[in-house]
Amino acid sequence: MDETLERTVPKIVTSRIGIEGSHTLETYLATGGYTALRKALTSMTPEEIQAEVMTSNLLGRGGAGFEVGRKWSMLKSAPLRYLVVNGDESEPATFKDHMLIEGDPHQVVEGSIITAYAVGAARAFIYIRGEFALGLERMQRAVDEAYRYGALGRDIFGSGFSLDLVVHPGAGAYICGEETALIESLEGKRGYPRIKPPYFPAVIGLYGAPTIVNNVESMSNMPWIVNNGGAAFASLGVGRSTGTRIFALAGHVNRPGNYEVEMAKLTFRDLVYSPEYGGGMRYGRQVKAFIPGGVSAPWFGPEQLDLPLSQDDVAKAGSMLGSGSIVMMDDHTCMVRAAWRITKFFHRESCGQCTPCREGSGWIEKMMRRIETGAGRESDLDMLLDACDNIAPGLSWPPAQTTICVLGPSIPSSVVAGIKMFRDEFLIHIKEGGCPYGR
Amino acid sequence: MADEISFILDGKEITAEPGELIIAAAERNGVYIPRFCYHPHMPSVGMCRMCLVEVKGPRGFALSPSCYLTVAPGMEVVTDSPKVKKAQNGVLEFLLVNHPLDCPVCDKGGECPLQDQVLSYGPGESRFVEEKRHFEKPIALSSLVYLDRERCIQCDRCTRFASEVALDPLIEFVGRGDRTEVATFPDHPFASYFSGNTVQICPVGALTAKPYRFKARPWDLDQSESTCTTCALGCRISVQSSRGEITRYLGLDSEAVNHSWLCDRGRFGYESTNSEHRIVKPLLKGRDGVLEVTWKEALTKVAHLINEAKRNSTPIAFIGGANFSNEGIYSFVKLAREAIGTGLIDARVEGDITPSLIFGTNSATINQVVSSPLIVVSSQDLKEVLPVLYLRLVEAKRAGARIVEISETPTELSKISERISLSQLEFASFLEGSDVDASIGERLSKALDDLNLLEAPTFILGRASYGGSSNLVERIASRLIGRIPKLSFLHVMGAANIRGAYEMGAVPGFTYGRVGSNLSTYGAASVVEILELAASKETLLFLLDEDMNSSTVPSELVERVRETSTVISIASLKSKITELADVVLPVVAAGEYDGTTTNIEGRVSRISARVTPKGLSQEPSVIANEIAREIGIDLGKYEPSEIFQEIVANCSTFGNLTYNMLSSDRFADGVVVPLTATEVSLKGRRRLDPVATPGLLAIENVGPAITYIAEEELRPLENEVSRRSSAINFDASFDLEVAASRSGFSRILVEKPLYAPNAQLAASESMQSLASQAMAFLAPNVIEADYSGETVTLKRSDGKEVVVAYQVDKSLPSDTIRLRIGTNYDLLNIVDPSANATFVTLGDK
Amino acid sequence: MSGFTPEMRARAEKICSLYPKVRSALIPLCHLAQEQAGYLREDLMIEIAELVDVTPAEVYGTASFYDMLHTEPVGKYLVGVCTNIACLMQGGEDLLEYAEEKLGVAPGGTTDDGLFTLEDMECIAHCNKAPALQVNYRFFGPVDEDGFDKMIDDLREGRLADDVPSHGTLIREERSAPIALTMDEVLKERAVSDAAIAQRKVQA
Ligand SMILES: Cc1cc2nc3c(=O)[nH]c(=O)nc-3n(C[C@H](O)[C@H](O)[C@H](O)COP(=O)(O)O)c2cc1C
Ligand code: SF4
Ligand code: FES
Repeated sequence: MDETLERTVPKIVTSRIGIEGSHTLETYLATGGYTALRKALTSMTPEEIQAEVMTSNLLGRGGAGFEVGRKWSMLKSAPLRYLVVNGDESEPATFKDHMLIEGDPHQVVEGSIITAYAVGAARAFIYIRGEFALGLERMQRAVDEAYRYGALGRDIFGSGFSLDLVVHPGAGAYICGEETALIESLEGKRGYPRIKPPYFPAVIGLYGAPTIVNNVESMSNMPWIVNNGGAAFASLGVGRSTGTRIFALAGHVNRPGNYEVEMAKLTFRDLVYSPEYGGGMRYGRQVKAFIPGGVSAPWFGPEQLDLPLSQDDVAKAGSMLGSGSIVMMDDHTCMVRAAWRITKFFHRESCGQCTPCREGSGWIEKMMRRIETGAGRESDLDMLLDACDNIAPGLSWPPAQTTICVLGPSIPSSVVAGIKMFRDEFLIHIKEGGCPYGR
Repeated sequence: MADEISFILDGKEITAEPGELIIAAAERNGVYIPRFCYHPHMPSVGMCRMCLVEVKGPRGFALSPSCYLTVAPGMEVVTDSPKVKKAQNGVLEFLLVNHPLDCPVCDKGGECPLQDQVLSYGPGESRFVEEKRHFEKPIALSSLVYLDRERCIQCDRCTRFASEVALDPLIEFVGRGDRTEVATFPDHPFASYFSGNTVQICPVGALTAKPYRFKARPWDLDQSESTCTTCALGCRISVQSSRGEITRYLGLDSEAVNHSWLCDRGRFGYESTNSEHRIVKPLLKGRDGVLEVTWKEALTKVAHLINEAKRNSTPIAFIGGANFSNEGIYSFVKLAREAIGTGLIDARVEGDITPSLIFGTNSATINQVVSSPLIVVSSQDLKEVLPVLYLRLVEAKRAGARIVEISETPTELSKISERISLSQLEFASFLEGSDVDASIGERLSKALDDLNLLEAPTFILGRASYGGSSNLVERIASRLIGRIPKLSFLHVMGAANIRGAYEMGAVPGFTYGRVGSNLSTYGAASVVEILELAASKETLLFLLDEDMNSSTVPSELVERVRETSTVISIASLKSKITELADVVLPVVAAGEYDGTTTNIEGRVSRISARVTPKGLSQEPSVIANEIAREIGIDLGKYEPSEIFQEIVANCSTFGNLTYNMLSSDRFADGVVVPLTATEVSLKGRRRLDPVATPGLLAIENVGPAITYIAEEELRPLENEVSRRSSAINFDASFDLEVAASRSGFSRILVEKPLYAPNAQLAASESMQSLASQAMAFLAPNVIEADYSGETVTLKRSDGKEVVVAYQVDKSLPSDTIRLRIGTNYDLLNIVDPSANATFVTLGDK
Repeated sequence: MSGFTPEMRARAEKICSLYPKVRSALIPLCHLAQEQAGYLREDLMIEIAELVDVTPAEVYGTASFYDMLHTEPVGKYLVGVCTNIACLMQGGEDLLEYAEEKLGVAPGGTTDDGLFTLEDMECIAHCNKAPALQVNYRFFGPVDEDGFDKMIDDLREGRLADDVPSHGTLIREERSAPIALTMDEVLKERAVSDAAIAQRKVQA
């Protein structure tokens, strides 16, 4: 571990997590809440806020990692524009937004109001994954408290700016995390992603109006950026990966959990083994492989443990930081079963619009199940790769796609990585007619 | 065109129209890109991914859906690279993952886009060895459409058609991923007037039509291009038959008329041609009941009746004929006016509008109307009268048109229009300067002013209420022209060839060629007047394929006629009329004859025979000619093509049109008369896409009517005068009694729904059950709140009354009753045939 | 069966008023219907259709896309055991198997007493507490066999009634603040601020 760890890195988005009653207005105000909003509305123009966010180089925390400031600047001007906050968090093994929504809802609300002001949104919506019942309750209460406090509604803090914010529950569909599916869902429809181009939300979004969609964690950064300036944020991290970020660490580690760390300064190994974070692998076992950024991301092996937690470095190595979820798998893990379980997830969650994803996910899942349960054939491996190739032609990273949205090309990630990294293990399953690991 | 854009397709530079999709531009240029979900007349969704091609973008070539991207100048597109081939191959293989491959027992086998494209672009064999998904075998989505969910490939065509084209979102995708299926809400069937289109566009055998299921295999089918003769829109169709029976109608992609769509009543009406209800032999009513006789005997009897009538100066009259071809009506007009010498002839059994209105105004084509930025409508609900015109308006709306509807009550069109709530009576008085509600008046004036600003303003005009006098519409038209001089009209009329009946002279005061002719000495001009005559004085009455059941004539009048007069019914189907007629002559039905027909815009198009006539039935022209011959007069031509040339020779509005031209590729969609330059410059017909309409190209055995002959030159008429009949004084004063409200009385508004019962509906097995129920919709103030009877009695001040089922309708203005024509033959007895409005009270409350 | 109770109807109308386009209320109203009836009864779907101005088929088609919306009755407690990747690593599948045994039903099944419906769930974002499960979307974890037994007993005996309402009740917090600005007012206000921004741009 290098000396940067000793430097005091501020907790930007998780500062209140763990404090008793962190979700209440009382606690929020007592810990500096809504000072940024007051500052933004009373002493800053929307352009100034946009400039600060641009300077911060905050990368979206929803998965795609697009610069938030740049996205805002692409918003088409129109009489009506909307802000939609993406709290649908359903990427397997990602649980950071869940924590922010339940633990610090006011921070999300404050960030959202600041953003709505900065982009001139006519109304803001926080779309929360339906399964987050407690989160929905707390967010709703926070919004009500914010209205009562004067942070929402007419003429906020006497600034002349007014805003209504609606908490919207999802109803259980992973694909609704994809921003255009989210918009369709918010319009009361089936969560079908829209074809792009031309429908980027910033051009045609909710109700056909230009719309900004940002992640809950992205929003949670706003109060700090307004209070401390974009430059302070950008001074943390390395290169394009600025500020801090929550990593959701799960799988075979001793201390699974959400850890907010400065970007690009730590490596995966640091996060997994440092006692204040993962505390090492469970039972002291070895790392067999890990998923660096949600199940849509191709897997890494132990040799990539020393990559820094930086968006660009991970991309260069052929995967992504994605949703910020890291799943560790030890040497007792059956990789066929792991990959099968992930394809089962995609099969269940494919929206069903486009043929390759709808049918491919089911076919691939069935082949994987066959191999894991002992009915595989050697030719299945090439057939699997070919079916994957028909969804993500070239099987390269970032993937090409024959589908409408990127759920499709996410299906092959674990299958292809599994076969590439652990072909022998697949073959053992096939030859021995089943899984050597039991379960 | 000057604003065409050029782009590169497979290395060659070609051009596209602005806004054109890659897939369409490629197709026009001879490059066919495979597809499933794309349909030229529906919004693209890019879901099936079959049409992927490589398009060059900022980061090099990427696979993109060609059905979704519009051509941009300089765009580079590759449709035949290994990458494209692999992707298409992959999509086909994926589609087969859950497809049952039961082609040998599938109705679509042999004309299936999936089957065809697997053969052309597919992997050859499936590597899929897993279990496929299973569903219970076919389920009924409605009484007409069945769904086999296992075969469905989730292309979204049927569901998209229902929600976006027909605005009847009654079928939806249900479930997610590969568990997605098409379904209705429980106990809410897919009761759309247009449901059959979903069967036509289904690219696999998932949707089937009840009347066609298991009836034929594609390779046994013969087909002919023709025109639907169910309503006056004249949708272009392919009539298909197998072993001498009509088996199916498919909508053709006529750019001018129906854009490939049909309504169900038109699509499935052919069942009546095959039915047991057909009259197959001439019938004579004698002292001992009805006798089947030979044609010779029947014709001798008819001639005897005519000769006797002439000798006794008994009036001879002709009613109906609007369902005949132009040639059929023309022959009867000649029989009546020339051979017999009577002016008592009228085809307008629905009381359609006056000839002066049709001949004295400029008519607009459907395309002119729907391409206008502002479309104004005042008529009965278009979805009921001209269903496919409604679809064209929905399409216009989607393309950005503004639709203004002037109507007394909300209609189906109201979903896509700004409705100005005004009755036609009020509309007419508004145009004459009377006051209406200020805000309504303001909106109406504004709409009319906006219309006046257009280069080519158009107006869809028809009767809002059936029964009673139709002067109201004429009066509205004349005042509108006064206000908007350039205005042209699309006249809403019901019966199939009613517009042809005007041109052929089967209307009072005009013979063919729009030539004025004296009214009869009896002073009777309209259908109702002729019937009144026949009810009061012995008359020899010919009913030309008219069962009077769906007409807007009081049944009581028809019965009185029976008591006084002799009736000769020329009919194809058994009905109440054929039961009471003295002579019944069997006439051909749809699918059995050649000829031409004329639609509401004046479009003349070909009808073609697909099967031989049932029994001894004959074409109307043959019947007319034989009757004439029996009374010693030779009418001349028998062959439809020859009669048509005679029509052209006698009708200057037809210009230099020929029968052959109408069979040519270029003019197959028909030609509008009076012939205009715009019509002549129309482009040829769109190529048929076997995926858009499976079943068309798959059938190689093409029937005789599709003869693509060399193009002849069509010359537009030279001047305006020949198009508009100058002889008509359109500003004639109107003898109208604008009865406003009468205290204690309610005004009735009569509507004829699509499924108004008639002999044809009764003979169509699959649609019988859809016949509309007669119903009185009452404004809430018309009926006492505590009334609990199941029916109401409507009473006219002169004592006439009917008993009818009712519903209270909150959308109606006070003191109004909306009457829906249905299975109550006597309903129209309540309408005063001579007045603009009928007033009734509720009896025995 | 006759649709929403008056109290629910009032809540439904309030929800409708939150959105610029009323169809957006469709999913929240489905949750409300489930709160009333435990699942989406047909009469409730028909009433929702009327409230948001679509056909019942559209409500059904939309609702059926979402896992949380049930068009068939489910038990009072919907027990969903996560078997996705993080829980898989920590024995999620064993827990599911145990749950099947304990409740005597396979995933998708409901116990004879109508109390429990078992589900094989995707990730519920409770991965730091793997293996995790949810009951009516209230989360538990890590859960072992004893813990599962105890939880089921507690649910049966009503000891968890405060934490876990019966199936369908999602948000117990009722929105108190109504919408403050109509869309027209917003339009006017934003026009003023947009003009100010444009002017600043010109000056700069
Ligand atoms: C299949 C799929 C699922 C996604 N799920 C989520 C999600 O649950 N939460 C989220 O914030 N973004 C999710 N995204 C990313 C969003 O589309 C979008 O990029 C993001 O919300 C933008 O916010 P950001 O710029 O603040 O990151 C998902 C994307 C895809 C393709
Ligand atoms: S890739 Fe899958 S999830 Fe995405 S739109 Fe296509 S079917 Fe739906
Ligand atoms: S995606 Fe283009 S035809 Fe289906």
